[in-house]
Amino acid sequence: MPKRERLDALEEKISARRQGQVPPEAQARVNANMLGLAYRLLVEILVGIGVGGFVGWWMDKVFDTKPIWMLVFLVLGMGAGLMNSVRTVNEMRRKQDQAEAAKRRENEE
Amino acid sequence: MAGTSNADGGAGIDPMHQFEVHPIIELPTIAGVDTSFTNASLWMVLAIGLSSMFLIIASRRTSIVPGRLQLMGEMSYSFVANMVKENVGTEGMKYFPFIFSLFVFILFCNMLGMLPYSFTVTSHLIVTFALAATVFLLVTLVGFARHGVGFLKLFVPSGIPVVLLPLLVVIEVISYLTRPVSLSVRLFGNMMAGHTMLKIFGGFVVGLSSAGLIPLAIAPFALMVAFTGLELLIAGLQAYVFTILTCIYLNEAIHMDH
Repeated sequence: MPKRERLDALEEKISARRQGQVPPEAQARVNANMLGLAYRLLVEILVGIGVGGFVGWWMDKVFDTKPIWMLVFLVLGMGAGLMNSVRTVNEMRRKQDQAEAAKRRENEE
Repeated sequence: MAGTSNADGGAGIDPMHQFEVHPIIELPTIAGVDTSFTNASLWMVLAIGLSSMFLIIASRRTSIVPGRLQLMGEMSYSFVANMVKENVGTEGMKYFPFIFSLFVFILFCNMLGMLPYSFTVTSHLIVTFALAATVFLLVTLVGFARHGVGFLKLFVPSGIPVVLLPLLVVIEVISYLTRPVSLSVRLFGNMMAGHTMLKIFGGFVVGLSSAGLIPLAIAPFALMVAFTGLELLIAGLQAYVFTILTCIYLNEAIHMDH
């Protein structure tokens, strides 16, 4: 049927145009997610430094070794914060991959 | 929260005034702890009372075809139950009462904070830290109860050269200790920032309209309406985030699949 073919051609043209184009509400959702992620990473790193600093300060008080432990633990705290944020990103990426795989399966069905 | 002027009145609208804790019933100091009943205590009691009332009424007259209230109760139950089952597994259902209480308490505190003239308990770091510390203690105790000393393996990453091991163990321990802090700071930061922002925009509206510039007050007013919606979303979302992170930590303590 020519009508059917015309519709198919139109469909193809539309999907070709759509390729690489993100619908606005999906884009907004991605932006909100990115904002949430940025906030989480910031909290993660700051808290790492804070907790490291606190542990160092406490150890300096106990052993009377001001300021050696505080300096050491500030650096270690930065490391811990960085590790936590890397883990957060990996976790998010895994979740995103899972969601995308589920979506693709849904589309194929 | 609407922009309400404080006791100073006039243009001096203090956005932080809403966070002040003041005693309602003065009680004596016992062992260095002021036991006064404050506005924070009042809103916590209200959150517990209202959530208990909601769940008791919702589950009192149950029918096969649920009414509105029963449906809300059942939905909140199955929401948390699914979260626990998905993230912790069926063993986690033992801790369901704790996690459910935690979720409902935080949700009610956040939502009650959205009422005008109310007090947002979760915008105080000490409150969220107490909640997070309870979670942290529970998770640590569960870990040691189930794995004994083997729970310490959580701090020893696998496949690392022996030379680097001491350093990484210390970093892992610090990273474990940051959990209650980041858990509480996340909730506290979101609630405090949001409510301060609402108060500031509310202050703009009140200030501009009292100066006779009502057309100019429309823009901050519209923003405030939008932010109020956003705050409601954040109130629910942060209760969810707190609960799901509790589930993730509990899962790690039970299964140790690090």
